[in-house]
This record gives sequence, C-alpha cells and structure tokens, in this order.
Amino acid sequence: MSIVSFLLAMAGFVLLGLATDTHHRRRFGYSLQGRRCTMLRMGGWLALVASVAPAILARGWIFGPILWVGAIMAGAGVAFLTLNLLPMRGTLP
Amino acid sequence: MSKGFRQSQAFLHTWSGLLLGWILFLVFVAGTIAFWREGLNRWMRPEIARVEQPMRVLAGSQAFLASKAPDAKSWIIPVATERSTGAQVFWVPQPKPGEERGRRGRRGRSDTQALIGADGQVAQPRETRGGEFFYRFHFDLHYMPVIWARWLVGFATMMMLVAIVSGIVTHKKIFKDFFTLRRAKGQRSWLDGHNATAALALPFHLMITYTGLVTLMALLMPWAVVANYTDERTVFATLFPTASVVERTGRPAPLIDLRLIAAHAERRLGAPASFIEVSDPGDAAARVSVSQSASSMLSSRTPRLTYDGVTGRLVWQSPPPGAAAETAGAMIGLHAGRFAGNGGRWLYFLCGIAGTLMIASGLVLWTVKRRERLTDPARPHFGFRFVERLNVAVIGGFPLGIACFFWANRLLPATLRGRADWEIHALFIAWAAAALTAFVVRPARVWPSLFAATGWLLVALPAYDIVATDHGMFTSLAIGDLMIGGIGATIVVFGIGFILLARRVARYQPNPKRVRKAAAAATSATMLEVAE
Amino acid sequence: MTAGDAHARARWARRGDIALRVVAAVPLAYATASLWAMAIARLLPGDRAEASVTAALIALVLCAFAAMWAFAARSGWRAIWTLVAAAGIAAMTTWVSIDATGRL
Repeated sequence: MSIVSFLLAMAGFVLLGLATDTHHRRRFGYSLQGRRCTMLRMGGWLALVASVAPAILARGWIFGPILWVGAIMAGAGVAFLTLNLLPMRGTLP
Repeated sequence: MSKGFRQSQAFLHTWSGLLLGWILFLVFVAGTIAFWREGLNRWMRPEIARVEQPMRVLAGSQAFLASKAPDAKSWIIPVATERSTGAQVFWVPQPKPGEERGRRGRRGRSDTQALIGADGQVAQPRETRGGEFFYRFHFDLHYMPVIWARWLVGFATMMMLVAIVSGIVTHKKIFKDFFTLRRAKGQRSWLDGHNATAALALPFHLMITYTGLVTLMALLMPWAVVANYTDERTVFATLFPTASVVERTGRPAPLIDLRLIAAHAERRLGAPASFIEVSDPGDAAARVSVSQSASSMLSSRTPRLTYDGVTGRLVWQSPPPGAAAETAGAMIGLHAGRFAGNGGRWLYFLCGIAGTLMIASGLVLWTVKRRERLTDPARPHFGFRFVERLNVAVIGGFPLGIACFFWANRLLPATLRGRADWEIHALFIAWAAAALTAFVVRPARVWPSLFAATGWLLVALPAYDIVATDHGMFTSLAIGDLMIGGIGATIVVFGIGFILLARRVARYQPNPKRVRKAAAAATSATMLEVAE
Repeated sequence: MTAGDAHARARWARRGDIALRVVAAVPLAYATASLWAMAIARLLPGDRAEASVTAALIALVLCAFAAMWAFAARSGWRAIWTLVAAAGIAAMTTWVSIDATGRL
C-alpha cells in the first residue's frame, strides 16, 4: 500500500512535469497544445489526490499522512530526476 | 503579489539565508548523520557484539548495579534493543549528609556509568562518543557552553524559517519551475539546483525547521510560561508528571527481578519499553519506573508506569497529556524521527541531504551571482572574497573533518587518555587545517582538493575495516548485520560521490558575464531578484 | 549638490532604512512575539500549562512573520512603529490580565 501511494505520487508528478512545455517538447518532440496540457495536468493532480488513500490505509490516520508526505516528496524527487536525467529519445536538445 | 513585496522578501531571503548559513550547514550535516546515530554508536565500537537478547542485558544490568552501586539513590537502565550497543547504565549515588542535592545532569561522569553488553557483562569498548557526537553537536555545537550554542542554533533556525517562507513567497513560478533544471548555464543552473533541493523536499524543510524551534522552545520562548507561572517547576510538574517521591525507609528489601516488571509494563503499554529508572534500590521504598519507547509512537513524551520495587505492584501511571502538550510532543517526535523504521530513516536521511545541498547551493549561488556582477573580476570586494573563502572552509572543510573523525575512531590507541575527546579534536584539527588552506590558497584549487581528500578518506574506511577488523562490510552483511554493513556501504557511496564531485569541480569554469558599468551597479536601488 | 552627492545620500538613506528594518526584524520581532506569547497564554481558556504551550508554539510562527513584515513594510520606520504598537497592545493585555487574576 505504501508502494502504491509512492507510485501514484510519482506518476502524478511525471504527468505534471510533462504538462510543462520544456519537458513535453523533450519527450514528445512537439510543443504542448491546450487540450493535451489540460488532460496531462488533470491526470497529474488526480494521481496525486489518489495517492492519499493508500497511505492512510497502510498506516492509519496519524502515520498515514506522514507516510503520504514522504511518498509525495519521494515521488517528486524521482519524477524530477527521471524527467531531467533520463537521456532523450530523438534529436531535440 | 506586488513586485515590491516580492522584491523585499527576495532581499530578506538572501540575507537571512546567508548570514548564518554556515552554521545551518553544520547543523544539517550533523543532524542528517545523526538519524543513524544508533548505528554509528555500534559502527564506531566494532568490538561490541550485536544485542540479540535484550532481557539478558537487562538481567546483567541489574546484577552489575546490585554489586557495584547497591545503595545508590537511583539507577537508570536503558532497555537494550538490537540497534543499541547494549545498555549504557548509570547511577546516582546517595547524597552525602549535608551535601546539596545534585542536579540530574550527571551524564558526563565516567565513574557512575558503564556499558552492559550483549552477554550481560560489562563491556569495555574503545572510548568514543560514537553517533551521539553528531546528535549533540547539531544543537550543542562544541567547545562552548551549551546555552550559547543553543541560542546560536536557535537564532540560526529562526533565520532559516524566515528564509524558507520568504523563499516560497518570492518564487514567482514555483509550480511552473518545479521541474526546471538548466544545465551548464552558470548562475541559472545553481539557482535551479537550489530551487529543486528546496522545493522537492519543502514539506520536510518546513517541518524540520519549525519543529527544531519547538525542541528549543523552553529556552527560546519561555515567556508564555512566565506569563502564567511564578515558578517554572509547577509547569514542569504538569507537563512531565512523575509518581510522588517516597522517602527512603532504611529497611533493606530485595529488589524484584526487573525483567518481570519490564515484561508486565510492555504488555500493559502494548509497546516496547525504553528506560527503566529504579529509585532507592534495595530499600523497602524502592520504586521502578518504566517509560515507553519513543520508537513506538509519534510523540516524544511517552507514557510511564511506576511499580513498587519490592512487590512489583503497579502504583502509578502517567496521565494522558493535554492536546497542546501532545502536539508539542508530536512535533519533537517528528523532528527526531524515532518513530520511523528503516525505510522512514532513509527518507529522513535523503531529505536531510537535500536540505544540506539546498543550503550549500544557496551559499555558493550567492558568490556565483555576485561574480557575474563584479566590476573587476580580478579584485573582488571584501564581502565576496570572505563569503567565497568561508564557503570553501565550511562546505569543503567540515566533511573532511568528519572523515578524519571516523579515521581517528579507527586508529587512535585504546589506551589513550581522553580518547573520545581526541577523536573530536581530530575533526576540528583537520577542519582548521582545511579552513586555513581555504583562506590562503585560491578557491579554484582548494575546492577539488578538499572534496578529493574527503572522498578518498571515506572510500578507504570500509576497506580498512575489511582488512584490519573482522567487522568489515561483507562480513557484516553475511551475518545479517544490515546496519553495520549498510553504514559501510553508505560511506563508500559518499566517498565515491565526493571524488566525482572533486573531478567535476576541478573542471568547473566560472563564466562571468560582461562586466557591468560601475555606475549602473552602484545606483541600482532595486533589491535583487531571486527568481526571474 | 552634485550628482555624486545625491547618489551618496541615497545610498546612506537606503542603508539607514535597512538598518531600521534589521532592528525591526531581530530584536523587535522577538520582543513582539514574546509579548504576544504572554498575552495569548493569558487569554486562552483552560489549563494554564496547555495555554502556555499553545501560546509558545504560536509565538514561534509570529516571530518569523514579524521578521518578514519588517522587510515588507513600506519603510523602516513603519516597520518599527507597527511592531512597537503590536507589542504594546500585547504588553497591556498581559499586564491587565496578570493584575486581575495573578499567576500560578
């Protein structure tokens, strides 16, 4: 359950990251359009919100929120490193 | 948010971060390492066997104290766990008639304490402060009265809280910039690094800083108590209740087997015990108090049970604390992270590293930004030179000192008098040498040298352990001692990290932008923008 | 007055303003927060130990905010007199309260 929380948080941040122009261009090769941007953002926030429940389920109402904060920090960190350090497919710098 | 407000907070952020940033760096490095203090207590005493039967240690502690200090005023026995070196017991002798009642802080005295090892016998490991040094250092510092140190650290912590909140307020596009990492772009790269380490672990940074203030609250903000109480002892009795004191009767009576009491207490508390305090052992009025372990709950203020020391009857249990006291306790518990299992400790450790990098990158960012605005790069003003050199001295020198501290722990002879103090002197001597070099030699040469020296010293440590002791990394992992093996592995990783950092720094070319006109720089009345 | 003189005066005026803000942000912010710790500790109902702990927890935050205010205020003088006024209100409240019901 804690892993689920972490994975959802990470997915959420990856989606939010892809919703920014720089990273979208890097991964997909073209600039972000309105609708796609909205979808990515919504998906990202949804995943972040969804990551709360598994954390509470895993550890209860006192340690659950603490675990959740840990999961989002870890998820954000991994997403950040992946988005920035994973080598690019394609030719764009 | 108006431009003026953001600019004012940008200015505040820079200076409240910079002025005591070096102290904060030390606090963060030591505090982050201190999350592993129990492991380090063991790692720095390799001759100590791992505890496997806590009750055996407890029985041994009782037997030892009964023979060594049968008429003591009190015995304090920590309950050993598999993480601890054993039980570091200490006792308070009876005050001699006419002698003033001694204060409870007798911790430093070596003639009233002993380490009971895994086999229940007195253990004589090399004299060292172990991981406790890092824990104490991060609020007591060293070579100064602890009250001064705590005021200094408390003040720096408040400045850090101001720096964090003003940093959030001033960062215009904190969500848009969240994932930005521009590389090889000079000042912007440093800014991105500083922002990333700050924003990604922001909840941790806010928490650790504010809760740090809470741990020092009694010193820093005693006025709330002063407003309601004329005597602070009254409020302490309310916040930290204990069973009523019974007078020593003078009639001897055998002390009950403490293992029975520990077992009963743990059953009743539903959690492990951490401390056992026996008052007037061997007397008919003996009392045994058992405190619940802080690792089992969030609040640091754990419940206590008090038993009759002869019959084993429960006579008192601590009342549940009020909401505010519980909140403060939870905050201290969050800061210390004792509730966290191994996974949680790793998270705390990584966040602490992020915080350390945030501070270090902030300190360096200040010089990188100023270098680009220097009117004459060959002759920078005093402030710039001082900050740059101090950065090298602290960020480069302190880790080197720590590496030397670990080496001193390995190499200093066991018979050396004051050995524990000399390990610490070794840290400061190495650091002082590094600092001196930082102020005498060009930073461009000292940075990589210090990082490389630290890296090689750290990498060599576990290698030495493998060769010269029988508690090397691989042996420990093989027998399932993950803590010792893990510490060895972590030290290697850090060593490699410092070596790679040294190489990267050696290649670094600061690229000062075109030199601005002196007049333009001088008349700029606007405060500096942190975020663009 | 030459342009150079005008520059120099502006620089010293700015330094003076910053100096005032530092006075506001450090000793004055701490004093104001401490006095509010006392006032809140007096005003909160219920157990006295609880009230004191709550007040202290709040005051730590107030101190940080007061320091931020010291730099956000329109001028150094404004920062000082607003914090002094806030401190004064807290001090009077505390004094009146202690005068009325005393301390434990």
